[in-house]
Formats: sequence, structure tokens, C-alpha cells
Amino acid sequence: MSELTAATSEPHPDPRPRSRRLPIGRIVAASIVGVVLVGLPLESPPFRNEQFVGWMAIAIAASGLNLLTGYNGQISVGHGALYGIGAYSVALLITDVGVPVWIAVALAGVICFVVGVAIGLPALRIKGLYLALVTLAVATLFPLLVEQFSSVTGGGSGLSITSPQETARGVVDRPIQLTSPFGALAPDQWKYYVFLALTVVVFVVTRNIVRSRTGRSLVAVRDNETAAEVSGIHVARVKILTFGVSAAMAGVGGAVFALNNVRVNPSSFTIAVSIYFLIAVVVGGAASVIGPAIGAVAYGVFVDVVSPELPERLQPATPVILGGLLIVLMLVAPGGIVGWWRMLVAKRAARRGAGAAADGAGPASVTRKPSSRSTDARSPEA
Amino acid sequence: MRRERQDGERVGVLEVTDVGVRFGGVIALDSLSFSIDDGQICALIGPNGAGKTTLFNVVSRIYQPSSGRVRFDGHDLLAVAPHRIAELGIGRTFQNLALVPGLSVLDNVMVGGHARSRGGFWAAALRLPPVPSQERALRATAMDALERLSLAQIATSPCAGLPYGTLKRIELARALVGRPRLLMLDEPASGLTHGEVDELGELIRRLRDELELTVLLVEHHMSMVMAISDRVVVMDLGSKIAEGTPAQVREDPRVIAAYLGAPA
Repeated sequence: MSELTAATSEPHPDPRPRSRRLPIGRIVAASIVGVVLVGLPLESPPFRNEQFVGWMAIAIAASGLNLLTGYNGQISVGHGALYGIGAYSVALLITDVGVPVWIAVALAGVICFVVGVAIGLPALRIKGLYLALVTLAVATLFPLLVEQFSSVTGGGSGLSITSPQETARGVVDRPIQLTSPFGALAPDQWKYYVFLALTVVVFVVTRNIVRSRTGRSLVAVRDNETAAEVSGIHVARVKILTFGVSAAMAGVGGAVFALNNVRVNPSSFTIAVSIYFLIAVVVGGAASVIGPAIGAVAYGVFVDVVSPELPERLQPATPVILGGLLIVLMLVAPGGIVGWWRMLVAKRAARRGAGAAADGAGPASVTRKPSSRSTDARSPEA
Repeated sequence: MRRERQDGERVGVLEVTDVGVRFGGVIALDSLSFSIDDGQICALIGPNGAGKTTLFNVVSRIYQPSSGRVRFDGHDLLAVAPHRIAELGIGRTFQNLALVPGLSVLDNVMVGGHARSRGGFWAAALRLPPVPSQERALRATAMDALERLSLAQIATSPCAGLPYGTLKRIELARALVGRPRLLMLDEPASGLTHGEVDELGELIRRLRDELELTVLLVEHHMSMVMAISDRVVVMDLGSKIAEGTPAQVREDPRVIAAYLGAPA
């Protein structure tokens, strides 16, 4: 279709021979993860299932942050505020406006997209640490604003998410409940499955973005703005839209958080939340699609499962222990859990021998291998 | 010599007219004028600091000149946004490499096709109909470009850690995927061995013929410049000091003076 295609006669070798082969290991691993994710709520007590949904909320928001910080290279310490805006949007839309739950979630995403674009505009001129500081200000400001406008937000005591419901005493505003239309599932189990589905959708969408023209432009802008621009990428547009999309994902995460707790409170959206998202991204592995999910689970396991089991005297030291673990992790695996895994795979592939690497694909070629040298020396005429 | 194109009977693909670039008090380009005809290989030579790369950066809209005009294929380039240059049909490589280390070789080359494809966040997120087929087409075009430059075997490797000469060829492949009419190469032969330089010269000619390119070349390897160029523009200290066929330029006393120093 192009001159380039027309001028070449022989078919080119498959660029991705590895992934085209039936990846049995991957299928087995994915099946196990699938079975665990589906079976988990059936075997867990209700409070645990609600904690799981909380992890999903973090995973969604962290995935948004990863798109911005991991792939596009813009640091945000303000995603806790966007998470909060998403949560409050859902709460107010349902309680005060009477919007149906799922439309409210979508609208929360739209609202946060707009806010994200608004933050992204000044971010064009400020980079790196300075951008981190500006977003830090946003994160610090958000709980204060919520308390300031208490007539709308309920101030420090928070808001319950209610809807008019039929009761014995007539129609009364009561906390909303997501109940299964199929009956067989308990509310906590239903909630788990519904939000798991939403989380999967968000991660599939993220993966689609990352593995596309848009995803390449994100990374190109991160690594080399000049190269991006010369290749026809509108750098400013990419940066602003990424901020918007990232913020929308944080907002959807916040919406999940709000619906899970059926109430919102400014103390849930402090600067610490922004830091948790960064932790999830870094622990899981920045610039990998699944990293933030792994990071969110790791964080959740520590906070909700391990930390309550610690002896009474150690409880106040939980943040210190978390900090210590983070330092150790960053020393052992600077690329997060996913980065560490990739390194293991690459090492194993390298150990399998240079013979197998002759096809030129695969992680073994991270190191200079003879085949790339010989490519260089060979005549282009050959 | 300077004004010989004012007769207006032939209009070049790229026309640079009286372009001046100043960085503070430093004059990087001093009312430089030249034009390239369709299908020519034109070399821009001159000592270091002559302003060759500055001119490249003016044409690719990285620098805004303080005076002058640049026209490409009938468009006033100085009125075009930097990211739309590729769409107009101008591709380039960089003297100091401008690849994306975080992407694989293939993805780097596919970035070069950005202006030739469509689809933003929403289309990509939902994999709307044009996206997967466009992606396949772009991948095929990128693989063809890699094959043309004998890079197909390393398509899925990360760029980081590859040898310098290979990286230069990846950049060339990226520029080709944008299907340019004008290809600007900034010192493509630097860091190559003698044999590789000869091959490169051969390759540039072949690309020009097969892809119907116009080539603007900055290069210090004189043997290659003289062997493949249709025209040579010689610059010194921001100005053009000579212009003509390789044979004419080689004999020009001003060129000899600029390169070897003026006789005492």
C-alpha cells in the first residue's frame, strides 16, 4: 500500500515469533489467576470482600497514575485529590441529583477528565520536581476545600450516599445498596464481582492504549520530546490528554471507593492517598500495564491482612515497617515486582544459550549479542 | 551565484531564503539562501559551527529563525506547527540520535509513522475498527523499512544497548516510515567504518531512487559527499560560501580557504 511495501518483494519474518507460539505457561498462569479471582469472594467473609473492592479502587487509580507517570513521564502527587473528586462526584450525583449509580460513575470519570486537563495545562510549562510540587499542592488543598464548602460536601463529618427507598414507613432516604439481581449472591459478593468486572475493563482499556499509536506517542514524549515532535506527535496535546485520561481513571477509582464504603469523608482523601498510589505504581512496576494492580494488591495485603496480625506493640510502627519494606524492595528490585520478574525471565532466556537467540527476538538481546553486530556489518545489498 | 534562482523558471522542493538565526549575540545563520530540486541529493558541508545543524533545526521547526523564509513544496514552513512537518513529508535523523530508549526497535520505527496514521486515546482504548487494521499496516510498513536496512532480526529488541551504527540505521528507518518527500540526514556516516560509509552512500542513492526522495545531507565524510551528491552547498560561519556540483565546489578557492585556512 505504500512505496515501502511495494518495493520489497520477499515476505518479512514474523516480528514476534515468541508471542505467536502457543504460550502454555501464560495460559496456565492466567487460568490460575482467573480461578482465584472468581473463587475468592465465595470463600471470604464479607468484610474481606469489601477490602478486596478497596484494593480494586486503588488498582484503578494507580493504573491511571501509571499511564501519566510511568508511560508519559509526568509526575503527579495529586491523584489522591482526583480520587476524592471522583468519590464526591459519585456521592453528590447519587444523593443530591438522583443519578443512577453507573451513570454517576461514568460522570465522575468525565468530571475528573476535565479537572485533569485543567491541571495538565500548567503542567506543560512545569516539569519534574516542580510539577510534583504543584500536584502536591492540589492534594493538600482538596480535603481543606471539602471542609470549607461543608454545605455541599457535609464537611468533616462526610456524606452518606443515599437514595429514596421504599420502606414500611413510606419512601425514606437510605444508604444505597448494590444487591445482586440474581439473588444467590450476598451483597458483598455481588459488589466484588461487579467491581472486578469494572477493574478488568479499565485494565484492558489501559492495555489497548499502551499497545497503540497513542501508547507509543506517550513513551516517545516521555523519552524524547524532539524526536516525538519531528515524527509528527503533538507533544502538548499528548501531555494534556494523558493528564485528563489519567485523572478520569483516578476518578473512577474514587467512585468505586465511595460506592464500596457507601459514604465519603475528607479524611479518606489526604495526601497520604496520593502517596499510596505512587507506592502501588512503584512496587508493582512503573510502565507495565499489570504493575499497578500487583502493587495495589501488595499494598492491600500489607495494610489489611499482614498489619492487623502484627503484635499489639508493633501496631503503631506499621508505617515504619512499610517504609522499611519499600526501601528493601527498591534495593532488590528497582523496577518493581514486574521489573524483577522480567529480569528473571531475561536471565533465564540468556542462560538457555546464544543459539536460541539467533532468531533475534526475545529479551536476551538486551545485552549486545553477536547477531546485531553481524547485522551491522552485512551489506544492505545482500 | 547567490541570486541565480531568481529567474523563477524552476522552483525547488525546499527553498531557503535569507534565513537568519541568532542566539543572543551569536549569529548562527546569516541570511542563508539555497534551494533543492526534486529528486536531488544535496549535501550541506562546512567546518564545525558553520550552522548546518541549525539549518536542519529551522526546517524541522525546532528553531524559529529571526528572519527569512522557508518554503517546502509550496507551503510556508514557518507558518506550520512543528508536529505537522512530518505530515507535509519531511523526515530527518539527528546528529546525536533521538531515539526512544523505552521502546523496542520496531516500536521506535512505528513512531515514525505517527503522522501517517490516525486514532487517539478513545479509538485506541476501545480498539475501534480503523485502529487494529491501521496498526497492522503500520507494523508491516515498519518491518519493510527495517528489512530494507537489514534490521529485521532485531525488531523486537529494546533500543538500549544496541551499537551506535545500528541505532543510526534505526533512526533512518523511522524517518522512512513517515514516507517523506524530503529526507534530511544529519551526519549519517559518523561513527561508521570505511566500508560501512561506502555502503551507506550506496544505500542513500538507492533509497532516493526507489522511494523518489529528495535528500538533504550534512556530512563530514568528503569521499561519500563527493560520490553521491548532485549538488553541494558549502557553509562557513553561518553563511553560504559556495554552491555547485561536487567538481565545481572542490575547485572553489573559497572552499579550499575555509577548509585549509586562507593562505598567508
